[in-house]
Amino acid sequence: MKTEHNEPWIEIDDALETSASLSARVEEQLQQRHAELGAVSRQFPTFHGQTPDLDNLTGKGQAPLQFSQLRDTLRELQELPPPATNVVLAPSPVTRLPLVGRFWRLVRSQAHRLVLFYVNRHLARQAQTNHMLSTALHQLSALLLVQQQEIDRLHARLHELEQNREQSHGK
Amino acid sequence: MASDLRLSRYARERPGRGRPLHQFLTGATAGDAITTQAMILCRWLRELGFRSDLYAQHIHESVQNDVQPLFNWRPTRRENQAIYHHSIGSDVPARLQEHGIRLVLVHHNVTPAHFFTHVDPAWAQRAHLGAQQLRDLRPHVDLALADSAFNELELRDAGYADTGVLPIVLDAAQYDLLDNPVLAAQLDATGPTLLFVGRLAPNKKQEDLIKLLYCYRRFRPGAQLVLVGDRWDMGYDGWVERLAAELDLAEAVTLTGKVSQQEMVTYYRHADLYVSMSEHEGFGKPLVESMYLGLPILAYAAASVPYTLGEAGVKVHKKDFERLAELADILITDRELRERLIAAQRQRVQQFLEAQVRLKFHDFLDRALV
Repeated sequence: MKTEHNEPWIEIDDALETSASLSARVEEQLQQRHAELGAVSRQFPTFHGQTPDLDNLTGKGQAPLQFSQLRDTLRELQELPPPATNVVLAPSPVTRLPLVGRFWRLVRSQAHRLVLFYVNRHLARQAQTNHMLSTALHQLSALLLVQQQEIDRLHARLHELEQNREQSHGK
Repeated sequence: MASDLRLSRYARERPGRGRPLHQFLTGATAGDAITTQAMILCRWLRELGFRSDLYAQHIHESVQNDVQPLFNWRPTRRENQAIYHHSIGSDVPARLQEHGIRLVLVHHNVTPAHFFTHVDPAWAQRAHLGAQQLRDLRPHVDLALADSAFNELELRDAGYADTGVLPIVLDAAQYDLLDNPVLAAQLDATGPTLLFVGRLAPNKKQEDLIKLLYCYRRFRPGAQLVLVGDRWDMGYDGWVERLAAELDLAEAVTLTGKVSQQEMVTYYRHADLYVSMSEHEGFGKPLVESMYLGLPILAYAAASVPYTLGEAGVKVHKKDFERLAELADILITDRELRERLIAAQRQRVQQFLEAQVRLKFHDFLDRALV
């Protein structure tokens, strides 16, 4: 196995073992493992979910318009920027007063931060929920596409069978 | 050394009272690599004769006797320089700039915001702010140091010309401890044991270690994975636990949470392989700990990992979990290869011990002080 830049995927600096020799040992062991146990077929989830390739949602066949619209909506969803969570303080003339101004600036800033602390906690939970919903939508879209392709295939097969029947009745 | 004498004279310029040279951090907590580094630098500064304290915006109760709140700091008339440890966006730079303090910047890297965008937007925003502050600080910095060559590249990208590398120092005394005998016996009775040390966070990819374990247990059914590290309030720890359960690995994966120093040392000594699939490390102190304590390392070569490991350890550039499982098994079972890896790691770790790092620190300080 090599990387996309055709380099060895293992890097080792050793007197007796090179990247190539270690890689060869791994391949040999893996072949034996596959012979004994078969390959690992399990699909592992990732923390942020698998986002299907939206370009596949072209909807060739029965519902091209609907799939294109779904693709555009999902793309907008993916590209939504994260919410801003920084403190934004409007200018206040009181902050420019001597002595009091500095104290008022500190009080205002700390009050904003206290509110933001609690808001951000909820925001974090909501962001997680939104992302899980978005991931589920993407996965459902991918499933929908697979089912639509199966439907298209079955329609084509049905049409073929009907044509064959007409031809055989015509004889 | 000449620079040490010069530094000591500089520090004690005023009879009976050292020159102030304080350090500033965003957050301070026991066991954190940046906090530990700052405390060691503080000791060195005081031994040179400087008056040096630590200040932080966020202080965990574990260090409240050692670190003072940022807003308690009032610069004296003679105070014109400070050391600022930059790791994420905070109020610290603004506070220092308010008083016209010149800085020795120590850049510890800002974890890219995209790892946290969907789990903690506030944290992601602070990460963006941290990247921005790194650029904005440039006119106020006399010398910019990074704790790895990888982070030094970030300084260069941010426009800093006068830079250097000051590695995170390993305080050997904290690791020359006796094992916890009960834990050691537990670890020796099971295995092989894969170990990773680091807080549970999306960038550290503990999920990939579970996938590796899944493949490994197909032919080593007794293999275990120990994840030592704080749980972070982002839900990632829960997700990792659910993944382990989904893959029928709940009994084979241990999330220890925060452990004592003795327990951590015991894990390193009695595990069989240190494995990292992390996709972003600012420095990777657990790699240095692993090298010091004689545990071979298999690590995905992302961010600072190759810079910290140098020629030591085994680095991989692809995450193929079946192949990684076979490679892990070779590194655990091939005794001679293992011994050579440990020897190379022990040589590499010398770069991070106090003697070497302190020399560099003194030289940098000599360069930076005005």
